[in-house]
Amino acid sequence: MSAAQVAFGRGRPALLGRISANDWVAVGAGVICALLFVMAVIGPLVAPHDPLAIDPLNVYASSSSAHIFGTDESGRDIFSRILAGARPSLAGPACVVLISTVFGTILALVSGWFGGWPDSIISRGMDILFAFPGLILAITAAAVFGPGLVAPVVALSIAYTPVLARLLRSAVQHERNLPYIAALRAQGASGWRITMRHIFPNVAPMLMVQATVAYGYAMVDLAAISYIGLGVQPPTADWGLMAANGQPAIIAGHPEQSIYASLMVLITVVAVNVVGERLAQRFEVQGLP
Amino acid sequence: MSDQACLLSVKDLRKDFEIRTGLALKHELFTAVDGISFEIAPGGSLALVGESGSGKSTTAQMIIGLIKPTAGEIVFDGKLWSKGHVSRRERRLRARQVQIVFQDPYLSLDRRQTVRSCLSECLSLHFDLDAEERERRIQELLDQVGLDERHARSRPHALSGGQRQRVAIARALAAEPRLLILDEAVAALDVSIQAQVLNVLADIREATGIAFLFISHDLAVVQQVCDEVAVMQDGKIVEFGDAESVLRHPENPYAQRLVDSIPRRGWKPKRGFVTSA
Amino acid sequence: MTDLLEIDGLAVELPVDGLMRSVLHDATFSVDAGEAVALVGESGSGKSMTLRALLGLLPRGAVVHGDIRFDGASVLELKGAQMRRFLAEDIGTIFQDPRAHINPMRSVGDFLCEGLVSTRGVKRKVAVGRAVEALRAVRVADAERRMRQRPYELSGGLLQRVMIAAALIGDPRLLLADEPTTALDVTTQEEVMAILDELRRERSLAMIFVTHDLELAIAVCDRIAVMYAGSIVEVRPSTEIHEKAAHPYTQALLSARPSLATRGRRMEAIQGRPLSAFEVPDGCSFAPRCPYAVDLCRQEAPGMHSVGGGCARCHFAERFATGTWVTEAEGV
Repeated sequence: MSAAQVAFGRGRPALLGRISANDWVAVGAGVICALLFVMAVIGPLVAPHDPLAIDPLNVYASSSSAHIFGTDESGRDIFSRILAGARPSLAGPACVVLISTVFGTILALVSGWFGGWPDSIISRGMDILFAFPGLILAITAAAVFGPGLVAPVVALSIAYTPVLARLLRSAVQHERNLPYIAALRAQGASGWRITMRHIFPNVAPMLMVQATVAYGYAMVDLAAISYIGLGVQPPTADWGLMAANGQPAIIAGHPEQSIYASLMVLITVVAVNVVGERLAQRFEVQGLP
Repeated sequence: MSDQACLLSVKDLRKDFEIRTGLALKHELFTAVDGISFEIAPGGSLALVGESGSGKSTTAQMIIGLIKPTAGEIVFDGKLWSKGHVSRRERRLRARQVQIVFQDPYLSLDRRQTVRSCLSECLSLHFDLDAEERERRIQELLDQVGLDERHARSRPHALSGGQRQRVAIARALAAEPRLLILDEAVAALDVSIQAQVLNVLADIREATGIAFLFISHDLAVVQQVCDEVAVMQDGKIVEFGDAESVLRHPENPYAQRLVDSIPRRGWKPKRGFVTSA
Repeated sequence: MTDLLEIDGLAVELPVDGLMRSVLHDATFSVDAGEAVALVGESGSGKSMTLRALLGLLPRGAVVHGDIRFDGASVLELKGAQMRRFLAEDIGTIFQDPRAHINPMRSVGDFLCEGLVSTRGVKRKVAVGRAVEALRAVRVADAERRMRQRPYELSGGLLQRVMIAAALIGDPRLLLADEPTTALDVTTQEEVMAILDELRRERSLAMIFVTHDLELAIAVCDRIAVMYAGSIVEVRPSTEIHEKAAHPYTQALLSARPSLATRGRRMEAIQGRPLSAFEVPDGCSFAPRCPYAVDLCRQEAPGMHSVGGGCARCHFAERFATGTWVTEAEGV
């Protein structure tokens, strides 16, 4: 399932009012994001066991003091694999979002500001790209570049760029038609200055929200790609891969691997979305009193 | 009036818009401005009055350079403005000749900028000032429109509609233009605030000798600040003269109707016009 | 005799940023059957809020004090089906922007018939007949053809007349008009107001006319209630307002409109800006802007003083009404 094909939607509805310092949801989400970041950086170093160490005598062990989350089908410690898996699981979507945001923004700004021919060409180009499901592109990329994380990341970045470009383009167009832009043009300000100093900062909050939503989708998409064997290769620890690997074991009564891995994905997606939305609220300047 | 003596001279100005009809294969031409001509003397004050669809705003946008005329001439200070591509340098020069204040006080300012930052940016577009000179000039502009330090530090959302319009006027004046276009600049303000802003404009005109082109649908407002009035209907000027004559004794029937429709003491609304409106 | 509509000490508070803020203080006035009363004010005056309270269209979380009585019965307590029946049968509403209040996807005929068919149970055919009649009453030519058209095919003035037809079609007893001509050109405004005025008098309809245009209100209404910062500051018959306005704010509104007489001179503009009800300091709400304010004004909020044919909320109402404007030097 390629979520890249699905429009992300207009973003969050009208802002919910100013955030007070007591917004424990935002604080909690921020703390979680920070912890996840730390996990990605030092995860493998603080893992109690070697994430790759096999123990055939101890497969499907339940939670114990030695193995907090139990072990998987090869006897590997799930907790250690969760910690080690943070790096590929979190970095992959981050790269996708970074690349697609940068290119999507540039295309949106050019398209929205100039209109006319540049807009037509870029929009048609985006429409063409839009037509390719992210998964197809990922498979093609895997065929070209071989298995691993690089190919899917590049493919998804290409697939997500038109979505972000389209959303931002309409925000840019809306902004560009406001009277204060006309006033700046009447002052003789250059297109570059207006775009960078006025239009971009005003659409940035929306961009923040869309980028974090995209992060969630990218995470799930990459997990799916790893699931079908095109992304991260076993025995590397990766949450998506673990969720997939643990599937046969669920019926057998050992759901730990899938559950904990999926839970990490869920927590990450929610925390990142909340942080993104709150950041956008924080930076959004209301136009009306 | 010879060309040299007038500040702005507009001759046979025309603007056609292409409207797509049907399945977008046919284009119809809609003439918003149909060959109008007028002049504004240095320090003069002309009102372009009309209802929606009269072409007055389109005219203003052509003079400020946001829209390119289809035909006709705009001559400013004796120099003919080219209709083709305008270089960045030329646009900066024009910015120092004509400036504009728009109708909507809420959307005319960048909501992320403080007033000081907004004025500072515009000053830096036109003048090479050091920090001290720039600050001094900002203070001057704020004084001219009746704002103070408190307002300078604020962002637009903390200001009222009238205050925001004053900022928009100050911003326009930052370029030291010789002609200021006011495109329904007081229409969105409360009645008591309109009077304040009209006084500000009168004061500025007296202090700087700037000329006004006042676009408005409101004849009452126009009679306060303008020496001459041009009434527009369907893209044409149907009546032109000094304010008192046009407002007291309009000759054109449409202009007459316009004057008669203003609610005032002793007035009662009367029917009798075409019912398709 | 009970008035048709009595508004008694109406006050409204709205939640803004988590705090309850007052947007309407103590509004009290009444409307007789067949009488037109104008609520005139600038931003923050509370004029629109008063209408909304009557229509039950206040935002969620609004707290209402006081009472609104229609034909003696309280309206604020109506809920659900009762409220809908009250609105459908007794009230007709005309809003400011017709395009925002008419469904652009449906025909004019559908819009006109909807209320009758759904709430009054009138048969479709009968409703269509009444709709055509209503369009003719507002002088829309070629009414049958217009019934089939969509809103975008009609001009602003025509659409506003459709809105008036819709307001009148249910045979209401009270018309509520919220800035009905503000979005229209001035010649169209005259046409629409003339039609509205004619119809209202023909049917002896009562009306509450909300506007910021004092002269327009004087031309079409019997009594004017001037509002400032959430309170009514003056109520006066329209025939008396020009000569005998008893509140400085009313006088300021009258002088704020430029005229040929003020040409070339500075206008008498009062300083400051119109406040909302929750921004009002102690004492008289108008004192910060009033050119005649003295210490008493800033300390004590005035009550309504009866003067001439109406009343005014000013300590010096009697003196203002006689046309002798008090200067600060003269004092109390």
